Amino acid sequence: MPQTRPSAPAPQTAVPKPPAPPPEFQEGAISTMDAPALIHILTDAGSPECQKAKACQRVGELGAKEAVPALSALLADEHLSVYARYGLEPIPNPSADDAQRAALSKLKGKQLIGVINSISKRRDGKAGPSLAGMIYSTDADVASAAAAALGSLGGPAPAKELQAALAKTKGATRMAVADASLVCAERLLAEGKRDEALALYTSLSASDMPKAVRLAAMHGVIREETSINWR
Amino acid sequence: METGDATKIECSDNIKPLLRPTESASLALENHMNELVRCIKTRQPTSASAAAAANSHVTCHAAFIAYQRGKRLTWDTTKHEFTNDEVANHMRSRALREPWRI
Repeated sequence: MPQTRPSAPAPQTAVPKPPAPPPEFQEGAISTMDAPALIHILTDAGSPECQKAKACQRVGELGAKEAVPALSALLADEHLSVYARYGLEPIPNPSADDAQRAALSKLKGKQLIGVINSISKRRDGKAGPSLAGMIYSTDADVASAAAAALGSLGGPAPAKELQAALAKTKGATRMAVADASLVCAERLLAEGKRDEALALYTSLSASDMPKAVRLAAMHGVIREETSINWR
Repeated sequence: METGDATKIECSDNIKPLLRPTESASLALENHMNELVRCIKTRQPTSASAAAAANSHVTCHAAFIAYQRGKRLTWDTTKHEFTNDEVANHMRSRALREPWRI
C-alpha cells in the first residue's frame, strides 16, 4: 500500500510587524549591559521607569552584588518595589539579605509584604526575630505574610515562635499561623528533627484548631509514626 | 495545545497539516478516564502525574531560558539547576508581585 506523506504546511502570509513601543518603554541595550551601566540607570533620576525595571531584572540575572544598594533604594517605590526584589532575590551575596532585613523596619503595606515574601523565598534565618514580632502586626496581611515566612524558615526557634503565636492570635491570622506551622513541621522533618516536628503536629491537632489543620496535623503524626512515606 | 477533557486540540494553522492523530479524541478521553479509575483502584500514579506535569513545565522553561541566553544549557535533574551557566540559574524564578506568595 503506497505511503502517503503529510502535505507541506501552507505558506504563511506575511504578518505585519507590530508597532515599536514608545521611547520610554524601549528596552534598548539593557539585556547586554554590564553591572556598572545598569547601576547608572537605576540611580539616574532621569531614567524612565520601564528602563529601571528592566535594569533591576538584569542585575538580578547577573547576580551583581554591587547593585544591592541601588536596588534597596527602590524597595519603597510603589511601582518598582517588585522589580527591586526581582533583582535582589537571585543575588547570592548575603548583602541582599542584609538589605531586605533592614527594609523591614522602614516599609509598610504591600511593599513590606513583598519584602517579607522575598525573605521567605531566600530563607534568611537572621530575619526570624523580626518576623516573629510582625505576626502581631495590626495589619492582618502583614501578620499572615510574616507567619508564612517564619514557617518557611523552619528550625526549632521559628517552631517555638509559631507555637506561641497559635495561643495569642485569632481569626485569619491564627489560620495563617497554623498553615505556617504545618510548613515548619515539614521543614523540621526534612532536617531530621522528628521529635520537634511531632510536638508541633500535636499542638496543631488540638480540638480548638480548625478542622482542616487538625486533619493535616493528624495525617503528619500518623505518617511519621507508621513510617510510611507518602511524600 | 490540548484543551483538557474537551476532546479538542488547538494549534496554529501552519502546523495543522502536520497533525496525524493515532486515535480519535473520544478514545483518548476514554483512556484518560479509564486510567484515572484504574489508578484509584491500584493506588498507582497516573501517566499525567504531578511529577510529569512539573517536569514538562521545567523542560519548557529551561528551553526558553536557553533561548534567552543564546546557548546550549545542561540541566541537573537532581539539583534542579543548570550546570554550565550561573546567569541562567538566576533566571529560574522571579519575585512575585506583592502580596502574592506560594
